[in-house]
Amino acid sequence: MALTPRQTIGCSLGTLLLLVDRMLSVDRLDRAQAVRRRQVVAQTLDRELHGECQVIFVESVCNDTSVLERNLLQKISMSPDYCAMECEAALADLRTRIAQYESQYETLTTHERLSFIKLFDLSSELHLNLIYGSVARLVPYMMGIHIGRRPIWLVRAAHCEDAGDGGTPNSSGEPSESAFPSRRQGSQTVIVPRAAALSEEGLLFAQRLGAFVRARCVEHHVASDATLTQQREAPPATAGAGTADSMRPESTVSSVDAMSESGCVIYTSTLPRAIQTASFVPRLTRPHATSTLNPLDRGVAYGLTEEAFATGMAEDYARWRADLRHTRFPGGESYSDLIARLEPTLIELEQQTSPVLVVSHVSTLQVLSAYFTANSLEEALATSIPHHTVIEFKPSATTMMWERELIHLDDAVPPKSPATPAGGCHARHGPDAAAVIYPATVAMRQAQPEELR
Amino acid sequence: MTVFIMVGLPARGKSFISKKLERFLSWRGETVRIFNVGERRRKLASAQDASFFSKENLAVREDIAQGVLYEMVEWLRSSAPPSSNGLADPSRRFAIFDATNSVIAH
Repeated sequence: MALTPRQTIGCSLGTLLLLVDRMLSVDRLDRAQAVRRRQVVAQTLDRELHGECQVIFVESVCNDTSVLERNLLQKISMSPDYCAMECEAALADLRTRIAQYESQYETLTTHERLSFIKLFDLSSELHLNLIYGSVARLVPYMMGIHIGRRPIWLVRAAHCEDAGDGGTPNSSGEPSESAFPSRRQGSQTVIVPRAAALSEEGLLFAQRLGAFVRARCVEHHVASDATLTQQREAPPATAGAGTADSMRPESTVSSVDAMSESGCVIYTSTLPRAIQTASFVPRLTRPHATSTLNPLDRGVAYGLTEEAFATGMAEDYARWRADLRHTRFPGGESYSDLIARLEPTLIELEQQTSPVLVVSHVSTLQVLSAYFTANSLEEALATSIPHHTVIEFKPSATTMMWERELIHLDDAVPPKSPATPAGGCHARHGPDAAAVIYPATVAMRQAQPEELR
Repeated sequence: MTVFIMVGLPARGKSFISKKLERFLSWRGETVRIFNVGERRRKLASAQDASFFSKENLAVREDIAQGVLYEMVEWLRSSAPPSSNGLADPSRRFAIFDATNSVIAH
């Protein structure tokens, strides 16, 4: 019997459907295997480590094409696999590689009964499953992970009225201080009142810092707008309606826009000299003054030079030397205590997508720098944090993750009209206003001396 | 001890997240190490273009991943104090398994 045209179509459609079904089932098998393999890894670790090991899967999902394109370009520029290939060829090769994985790939689901943290588009969307205890404490940090390019500036509170010689930057602008106050002639201690105000020199630095940050913030906003424009002009082949575009209003880059956006997020300790140091800096939000950024409490060793501590309290000093991180200064904190209190602030710094300024003190800045430079605590404590210098950290694509630059603001010519407010903020928050905001603190603490950090 | 196993297609920022986690944990004073399967593959296999990532080479890739997995197990097991002062607690070790995805083991 001859088939009618209609039956022919029906038949070939059926065959086609069968074929598609077969292809899909192969695919399903691969995906099922991917899921099963995860179970095997979890079980292997559990068996080999006698159930003492917490196994957490961390999945990174990227649906945002602009994030993905950026990652692809980053990967071909950094990966040794692609160093010998032309850009176009490398991109094509990487896309083929990804396609091969996609057919075998299955995203984590709660049905697998595994602990997992799923991150979406390297932004703040996270899905958690069976996450408890110490790992749960890492979640805020993981939420803060992003691929933004904003700089972070660390600055030591400027020179104070009562700092004496120990706090004065020498002519080269490189005080030799590291973990401990440096020795002063005829004295074993370096003590400055906790409520000390900035000296004239300190105020000059605060003004230079304001001008520096303003200029850098404008640069930053112009640069990030340029990147955005570039992405718009050359949309990736796979891009639909780019998410980055829709999130951002279609604004033409004008210097007026850049100026109005050019402020930074400011964190200072609660000491007046730190608050004052940031008082000329253009800000995006009200500055955060937080005691988490206050100096390490050295207890009985407070204000002592290392030498004086070693000779005066030999036993305590030896104990501290043996374990720099965990030994508490008698009556005070350990560096571990300091790190624990700095942790939430560090996470906030990571979360920011705008430029950030931190004004704090030697001990806290040494510890914060250690995060950005990947230095050990011991190395960090040997690093000098010079006065009147900006320590700039910028995200970098290298394995170091951050690049560091020291910028001395001492040799600059003092700005002509330093107190000119940006957007009217400074009229209320000038250096004099800072003293007015904290009058009670100033009055109460005047009698309490405090070391210079 | 805790193991983080990275999951995700290529170019999804798995190594970036691994390095971030490593940096943060070691800053907090924990003992952390990344076990990277891609680095091992580059040392062992010669062909590194997309053809290497086809299904035919699945077994080779799995062997490499498996080797790194067992190296990680050994590191987690080893009781030798990781720092010179001998004060680090081995139970506080964190290992990060940075593999291309979860295609591991048989």
